[in-house]
Amino acid sequence: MMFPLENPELETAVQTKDRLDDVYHVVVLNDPVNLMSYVVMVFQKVFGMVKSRAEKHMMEVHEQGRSVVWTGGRENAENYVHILQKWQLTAILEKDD
Amino acid sequence: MINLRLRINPEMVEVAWGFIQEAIEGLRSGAAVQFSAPDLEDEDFAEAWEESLQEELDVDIVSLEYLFSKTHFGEDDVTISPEAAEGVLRSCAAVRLWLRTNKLGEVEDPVLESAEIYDLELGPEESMALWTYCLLGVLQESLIEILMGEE
Repeated sequence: MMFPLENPELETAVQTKDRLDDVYHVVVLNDPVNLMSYVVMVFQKVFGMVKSRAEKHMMEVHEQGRSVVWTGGRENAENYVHILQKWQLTAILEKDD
Repeated sequence: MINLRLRINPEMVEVAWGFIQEAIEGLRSGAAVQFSAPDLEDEDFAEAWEESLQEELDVDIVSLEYLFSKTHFGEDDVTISPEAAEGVLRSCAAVRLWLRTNKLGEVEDPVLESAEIYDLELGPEESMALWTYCLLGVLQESLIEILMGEE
């Protein structure tokens, strides 16, 4: 008869690996207050985007209400959301499905 | 260093400063700011998230206060560091958001976003709040032009 593997260390390791592999999106939402030029500048400063790319994301926010500005691991994504909120932008974290 | 050159009627700067001070009081109390942590279920994490952002906002606000109360902003050229300029930019955004929520509730989002404000029929206080809102926008535009022009 087979028994389920009971190894808490292994289980934790597997769960941790799963979490580390998860991908998150940093999403900026539209607001009627912040200037377009301000949003472009923030994207350039925070993500090092060239102006044309920053403008593309800004227009997405403006016209579609949201734009995914960065994708990657949770820790970095959280850090970016924190910085964007510091710049008074409405930024959220979304897990990739 | 950044040399800010804006010429504005001192009386209008004084009016704007009154609204800005009211906004700063609201922002410092934390009640007017919506910082949203990614994981709201983790209360300790959410609290630390909000506290750190509030602390950073408090520092930024000092730069805006300095500009309006310790210099001859609007009358003479003002020299500030790039770091202080970034603080002014962020606190201008925070004050504009505060004004939008607390003083300009009657103005619809599309009107505010399009800046087509000239036909609006507003009371004296709302008009002055809108003036302050626009002044801070002009200040932001000027700083962005200088900061990004230098890079």
